[in-house]
Amino acid sequence: MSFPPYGPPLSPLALSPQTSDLFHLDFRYATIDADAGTITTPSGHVGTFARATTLASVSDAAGTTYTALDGQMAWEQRDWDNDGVRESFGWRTGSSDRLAFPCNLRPMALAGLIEFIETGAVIGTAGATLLALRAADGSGSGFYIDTSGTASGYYRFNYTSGGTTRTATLGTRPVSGDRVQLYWQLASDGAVTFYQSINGGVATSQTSAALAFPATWVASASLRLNSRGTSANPLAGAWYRRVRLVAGALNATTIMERR
Amino acid sequence: MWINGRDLDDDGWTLTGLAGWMAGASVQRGVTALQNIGGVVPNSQYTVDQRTMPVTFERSLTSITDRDAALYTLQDRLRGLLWVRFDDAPARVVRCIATPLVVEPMAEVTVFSVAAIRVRCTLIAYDGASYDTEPQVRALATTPVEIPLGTLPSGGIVTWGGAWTATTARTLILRDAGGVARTTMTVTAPSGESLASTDFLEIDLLRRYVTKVTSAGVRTNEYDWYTSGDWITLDPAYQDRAATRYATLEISAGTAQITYRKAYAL
Repeated sequence: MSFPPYGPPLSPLALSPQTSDLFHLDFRYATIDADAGTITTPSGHVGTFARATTLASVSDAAGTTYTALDGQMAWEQRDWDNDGVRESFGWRTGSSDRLAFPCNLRPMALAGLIEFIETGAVIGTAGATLLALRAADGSGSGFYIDTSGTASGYYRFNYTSGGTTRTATLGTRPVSGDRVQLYWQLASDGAVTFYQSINGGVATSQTSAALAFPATWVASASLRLNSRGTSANPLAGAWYRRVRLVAGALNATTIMERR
Repeated sequence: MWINGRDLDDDGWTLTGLAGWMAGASVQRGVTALQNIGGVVPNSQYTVDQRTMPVTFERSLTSITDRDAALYTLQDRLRGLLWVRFDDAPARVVRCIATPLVVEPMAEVTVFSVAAIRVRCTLIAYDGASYDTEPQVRALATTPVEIPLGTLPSGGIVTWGGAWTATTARTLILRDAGGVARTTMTVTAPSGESLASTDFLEIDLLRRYVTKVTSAGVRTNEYDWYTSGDWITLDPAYQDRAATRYATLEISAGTAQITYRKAYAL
């Protein structure tokens, strides 16, 4: 008799898109389950979407606009490489779209990236949130990217251990229609370096003071796009392309590579 | 060559051999006997052979420890389902898995060296197709809207809204580039059922699901709304790529969009 009799077991995940990222949401490759109403990322996270109203003027590949109905994700095609062609597939949001992915991420040194086209978050309400790792009520230890001002804010990265928050606030801001890459390094000492590149330009950055990691992130935390919680907190409004979180130090070149 | 978004050059590996990348998958079709004619014609049922792509990688080394680390890294990159892109077609991806790595053996007369290593494996694409990296979204209307496809049929999801009263039939029509209606799919709200103006249907063309989504996000299987006609298949046979004329979709009423991805045999 041979041992083991059936050979080493294979993970069923071998049949699903894989990534070694902590979190990887690329709307081009997300699995949209029309039956279940879920969206599954290449990293395996399953998200749910909510919007309790319609969203008008969403553009298709030909530039024709349509109105997304309540609860319908607004897939919109935009020009990302600045050649005048709407080639890039992404998720357009308004002021009431929420997309949340429950996850059990552990506090650790990590790097992240979010790509989007500015549609008005930085000229909207202070605190408008692009991305967050927070509890349902928007609180608790975690991190979030929001805006600093009411009418002319800057994007800022906030990392909180629960009782103390460190913030890195950028000194420049995009205008509506700009292609924005925000990426960051949350170092092992809890210091955050937050970068912004607008329309492919040279990145600028800000760094926060250090702050020791908590033992865990807040219980029942979800990675949330366009919001900080399920009901509270201002929503951003943007055209999102993708989000990545990877363990370890930031490598700006590799984190921007696409699948 | 990128594997799951990672350029292998970033790990020091260089792709030195690739075969089968531009070899179309073999398709076997079922047949249907024709009435009054002595013979058969291909029908819509088909199977596709898997496509294999042998690849070779090379990497310079500095030590045996470096070699081990490089092999571990490469094996990690080749784990699970892969989305592979090549430099000459960066807008396309192939979904495949990799066979175990084989390190090219040293010749007997060769003095052992750790200066470089060459490994081989085979990428296996089970559906034989390559896909656009970017999906397409098109707003549909009561007039024909062109749906450009690749060289293979595509699936897609039709989202169809607008107030829809009970027993009312609506149609989704696929026309070829010449305007001939090739498929008309009729969807009817059964007696006692309807859509509010903020509800919508999602029709998964590939998996053949019909799902009703209410404004509260409640989803129910409504396959029985599909009442007559053939199921819509987005088939490039109905387009004329050289003339940039494509098959079209139209709806008889309401508002709708389709999200799909172009697929290619090569």
